Amino acid sequence: MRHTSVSAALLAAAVIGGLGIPPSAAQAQTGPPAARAAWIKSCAGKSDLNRPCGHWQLVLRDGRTTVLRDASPTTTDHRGHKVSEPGALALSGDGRTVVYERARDHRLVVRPVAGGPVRELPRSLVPKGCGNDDLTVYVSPSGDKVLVDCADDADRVPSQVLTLATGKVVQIPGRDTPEGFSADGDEVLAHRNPTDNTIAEVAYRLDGTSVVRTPPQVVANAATLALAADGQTVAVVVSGDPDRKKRPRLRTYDLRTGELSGGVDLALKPDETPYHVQWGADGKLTAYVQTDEVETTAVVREFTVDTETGAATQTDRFTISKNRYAHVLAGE
Amino acid sequence: MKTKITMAVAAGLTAIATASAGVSPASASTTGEAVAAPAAGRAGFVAAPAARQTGVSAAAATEAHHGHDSIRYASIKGCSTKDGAPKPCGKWRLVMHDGMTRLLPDAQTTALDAKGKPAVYNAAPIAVSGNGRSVAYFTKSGRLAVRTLGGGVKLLAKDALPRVAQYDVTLKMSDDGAKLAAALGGDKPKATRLFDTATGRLLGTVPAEETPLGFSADGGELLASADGGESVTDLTAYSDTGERLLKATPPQVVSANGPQALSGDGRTVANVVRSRKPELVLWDMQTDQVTRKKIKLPAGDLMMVDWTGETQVTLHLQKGSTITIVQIDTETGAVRQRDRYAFLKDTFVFAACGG
Repeated sequence: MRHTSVSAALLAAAVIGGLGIPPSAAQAQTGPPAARAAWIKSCAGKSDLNRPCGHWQLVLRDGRTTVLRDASPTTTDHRGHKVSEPGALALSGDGRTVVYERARDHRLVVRPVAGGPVRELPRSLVPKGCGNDDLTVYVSPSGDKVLVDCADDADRVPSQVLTLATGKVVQIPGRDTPEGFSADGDEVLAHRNPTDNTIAEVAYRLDGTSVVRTPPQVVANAATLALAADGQTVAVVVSGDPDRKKRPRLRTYDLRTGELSGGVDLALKPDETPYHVQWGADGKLTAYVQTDEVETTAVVREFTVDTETGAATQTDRFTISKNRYAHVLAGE
Repeated sequence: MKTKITMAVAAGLTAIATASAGVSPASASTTGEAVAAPAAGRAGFVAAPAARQTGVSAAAATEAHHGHDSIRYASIKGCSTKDGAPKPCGKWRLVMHDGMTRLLPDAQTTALDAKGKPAVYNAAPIAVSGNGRSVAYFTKSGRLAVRTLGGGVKLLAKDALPRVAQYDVTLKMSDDGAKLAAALGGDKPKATRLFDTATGRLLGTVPAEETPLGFSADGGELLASADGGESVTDLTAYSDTGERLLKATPPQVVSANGPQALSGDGRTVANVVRSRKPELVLWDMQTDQVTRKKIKLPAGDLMMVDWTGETQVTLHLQKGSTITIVQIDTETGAVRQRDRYAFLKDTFVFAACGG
């Protein structure tokens, strides 16, 4: 469902209020610190393999960095044994809420980026037999919902969506792999692999209803997708092709009608295919372009994209240390 | 020793797969199939396009196609080498439907590179027409040749092909053997050349970026696939003179389930979903309409798909060294087994007739 920005702000306020933060803290833009990204350091490990180490760091919009001391740098498998991969961590699209795997007990917890009490998420969000190293966690754009997906080979374990304010949990069938929340957090975009080798896209409303459609090749093979607040319009980012000097392209696809837009070239270079896109509640599309070469500084640029013309206006730029093992963008 | 070799099989255009390392097959199909190698663990599969000429009566066509004196498949023996990797050896053998074997003494065994030096782990290309009456190959003098059973040999001009490595050449014949396509792959693919096999005349070319999949049922068109930009694979129908007739972006169920074959109508593409619930898929390139029919298939990997009649599609399935050939009625979905055979155990690579 589409909210006006005012009601979205109120919703966010209510949620964060539920976490024990004063409602005033949720005011937009000029409010409390928001994170652009999080990253974890890389250290030399055994047999020349690097491993995550140290503490998760939050790169804040105001340029500061804070440390998430209680977030686990490493994760655990289904037996509880340590795995040298980063602990689960995800940021809401607005950068104000962080969900992570706690270091001392490897439980999933949620916390405002600005600081404040840590809330434990129900243990039942991580299905039995699922290791933390199998988890993918998403936080909705406003931070009001958390989605936990367990990668199981049989595709039987459902993903779960928790609404923080109410504690209500909605399941998404195990055969579907979530890709993230819609702009207003009321739907989840997922894909499914039917037995005919195709990819189908599904939008789940959190009332249990869904829209499913097998899209054309250009959508199925896209670099990244994002679901708009209407729960049916999908932004489709088509990879650029440096060899052929083709810029990345943007199309929109309507899951309800099957309509595919003609598409526009994005005003980006052929090798600047957005890594992640996100619709704003205002219908604007934000695209993230990043360089992510090992042992070099990662440069992340944020653009506002005009979906009609493909014009891209840079709205933010930041870097992440070359010593990172991994990093996560807000809303990713 | 059992080895797994990966083959690119694209409705007809099929590279010769060998067990040798480091040399990739000429075909650049996006619809590869993993082929479990048979007994010797090194046989590859070379497909020939197959299709029945429309307008021929069913009985006559069947006889023409698979009479006892027509070619079931061509095979070359694999010999072991000092380093353990098998290589093709001996003469190409034509195994007939009646079980008899004939030799093809003038055919090149080992593929030559662009400088004429043998690439010992690669067999020279060969193709059998769908009706099993003709075979196309390189002669030992390096000329392209088409031999028709009971009809002698037609040598193509010396310069019929540019100077390329033979292992980069993929040959495809039309069902009736009247047309030959020579696709030139490798690092720098060149335009595919289309020949009239009766006269040896060059009929036309198809752009290098197009990967030929095979002739249509009546040989009047050639189906090809190409990168359509935007991470999409397009299919194009060319006339036998290289004129572009139809180009369209197929739906996922077609692009993700190759190989694909073109009907004699020049617009209906057939392919098969090979899963727990197999389906025959017909896609109209002109209207984008898709028709899907559930079918029952015997075990085996799908190697070839060919139109063999106005309402008939023929499949080659391989399981180990056994090939099963079935005919599907495109209107009812009924499946009938046409042939089943085990190819010679010492086979390094073989080429089956299509339909």
